[in-house]
Amino acid sequence: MIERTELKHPFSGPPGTTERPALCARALTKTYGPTVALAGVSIELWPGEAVAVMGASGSGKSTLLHCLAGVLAPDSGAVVLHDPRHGSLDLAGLDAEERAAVRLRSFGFVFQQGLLLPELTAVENVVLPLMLGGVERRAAQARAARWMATLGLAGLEERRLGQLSGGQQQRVAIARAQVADPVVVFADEPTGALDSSTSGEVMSALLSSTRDRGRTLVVVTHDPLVAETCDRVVHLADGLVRGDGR
Amino acid sequence: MNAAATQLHTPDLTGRARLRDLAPLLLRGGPADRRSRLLPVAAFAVVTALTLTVAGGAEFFLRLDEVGVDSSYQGVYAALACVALVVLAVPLLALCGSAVRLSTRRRDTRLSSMRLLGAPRRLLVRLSVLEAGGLALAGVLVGVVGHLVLAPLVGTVRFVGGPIGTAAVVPSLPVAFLTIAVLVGTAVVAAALGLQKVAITPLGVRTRELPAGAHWVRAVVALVVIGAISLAGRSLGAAGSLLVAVLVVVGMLGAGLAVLNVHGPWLLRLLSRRSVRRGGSGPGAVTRLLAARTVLDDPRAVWRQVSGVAMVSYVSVIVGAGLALANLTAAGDRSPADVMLTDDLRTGILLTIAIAFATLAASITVHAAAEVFDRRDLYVALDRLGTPRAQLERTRRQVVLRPLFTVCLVSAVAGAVTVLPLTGAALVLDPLTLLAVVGALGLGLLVVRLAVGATTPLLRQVLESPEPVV
Repeated sequence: MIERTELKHPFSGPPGTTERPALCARALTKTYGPTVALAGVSIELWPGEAVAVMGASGSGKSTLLHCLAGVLAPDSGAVVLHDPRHGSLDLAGLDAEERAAVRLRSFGFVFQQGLLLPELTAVENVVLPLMLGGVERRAAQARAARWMATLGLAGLEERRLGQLSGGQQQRVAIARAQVADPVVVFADEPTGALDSSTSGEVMSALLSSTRDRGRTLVVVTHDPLVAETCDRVVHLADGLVRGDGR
Repeated sequence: MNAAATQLHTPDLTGRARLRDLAPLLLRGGPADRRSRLLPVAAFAVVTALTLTVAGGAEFFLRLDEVGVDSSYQGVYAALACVALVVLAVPLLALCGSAVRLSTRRRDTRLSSMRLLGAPRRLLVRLSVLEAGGLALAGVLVGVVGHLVLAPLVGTVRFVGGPIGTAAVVPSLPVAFLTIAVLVGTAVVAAALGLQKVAITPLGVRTRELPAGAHWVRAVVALVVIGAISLAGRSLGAAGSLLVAVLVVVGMLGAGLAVLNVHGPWLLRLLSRRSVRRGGSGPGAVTRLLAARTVLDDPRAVWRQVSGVAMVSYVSVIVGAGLALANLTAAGDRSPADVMLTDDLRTGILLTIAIAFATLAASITVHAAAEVFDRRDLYVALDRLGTPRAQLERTRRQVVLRPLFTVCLVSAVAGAVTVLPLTGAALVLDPLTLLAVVGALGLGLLVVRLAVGATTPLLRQVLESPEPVV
């Protein structure tokens, strides 16, 4: 059974250690036919750190995010995750099924368009990661409701997504990303479809629920104002890291 | 930030996802889902009712000794029933395929999102199978009732000297159960197989990156197969027995229809590319461009809408030649059994074409309705841009009607190539054959136009209450 698969790797360290990066990518390459999306990217992401990834369209930002998150497998290189609860492992060496299991227990996602399911209510969207991990529905719903209240969504649990504003929808997405207490949260243009005031609120919610709790946040963005709120800004161009500063 | 949530212990996510908890949540769907789920159920109902009727009829012709038909004619009737079965099998299979796709089409977005969240493949397969199988079963049950209601009417059709009766139309229990099992099984297997792309490339499906392509190699394969069909027809005279001859004819027809179905999307892409390259200005050019781009976005989906008419065009050549042959035979000096056979041949041909058109009308209407839901975002965006509703309607019609004429012409030529070695040029060029081709094309165009028109209220509904793009 996939969820209980023991993931072994030479990088493995004892569970409970924190003096290492939450995520560490080494010499990642990824090509799509003749297009080189990543040409050897190395990056370390530390616990309690918010990192903005910037770059022009086609610079490889989203591909890097997808490789770090185990959505895509890189052509070469390593992506080592250190989850204090589960030890360390190299995502690049895992098959699709194992990467899915890692995404479920260690990562959270907030994308521009939320990846929320319009058929479900707000709270049902939030409970999904818990129920996928085998948590009983009532317990999952109670936990989801607490996260929603934390993010200012109390009373909106039973609303369908169409009945929520853009900012509220993104906060539902943040609640869903946080509900399983992931080590790293990945956000791809999380404020791309929002006005500047709502954008500020969403980033504030995202940062307080991740960095301020000692988790790692990776944000792919075009918006310098969003990047400013992060601790580090990594610039990509032509599939390579061209700048990495605080 | 409220500390309550941040102090929650980390949940244990090492358990197995419970299907009984997740299924009601994920298969329930929103109001729009519930409306659009009627489509696959309706499609499965129609395909079941028609398939059971066809199976019952075919069984009747294989049991003619029970109604006292001369044994020397039983083989001929059985052979003709097999030919009709093959001619009807492809449109029925196409409708069945459409029903399967309709039952899984809104699934991909939902499941690929879940895959991104980390849902195991096993769970996605189970959810898919449950959804597709449930919809298929509901449709099949409605279809069985529909078949039983239809049976007395079909039973009034006269064959072998009298009405065949209701009992002759209802298939035996083993055949009925086999038909139902095949239909539900097809839905379940197709749902599981179609999940491969979701499970492997969740982002590809989620962001519509996977192109629905069609390759030029298909055209070469089509020509080779049509050539092989023609050669098989020429060598029919060398067939040692009636059984071999029937098998060859059945194979030729089946291969011809299958080739059309497989190569149609490539032809549509070719035609639409030419349309896109054409210049022009004004609303007509905009409609043409939008229609062509819609086809290029997913040629296979559009092919599924026009394939029924293409199939009927193909079959119409065979039908026309068959009717011309029946007339030719009727002119000679004949025994009463020959007269009965000729009458039955004519009735069989007309019945086959009527069932083919019923399948076609069902398929096109269901697809036209599904297309409104599938292209919801496009239509809402065009409406917001200020595109007049009349132009949107024209675009919807053009997506189907523009390629239809060429597709039908190609199908009719393919039909002629198939039937030419069997009947000779005289029967293919007989006025009755040409009339059948023109009639089928005209009826096909009419059905398409009516089906698109019948779904206009759905488009209005979508434009007035568009679902959020989340």
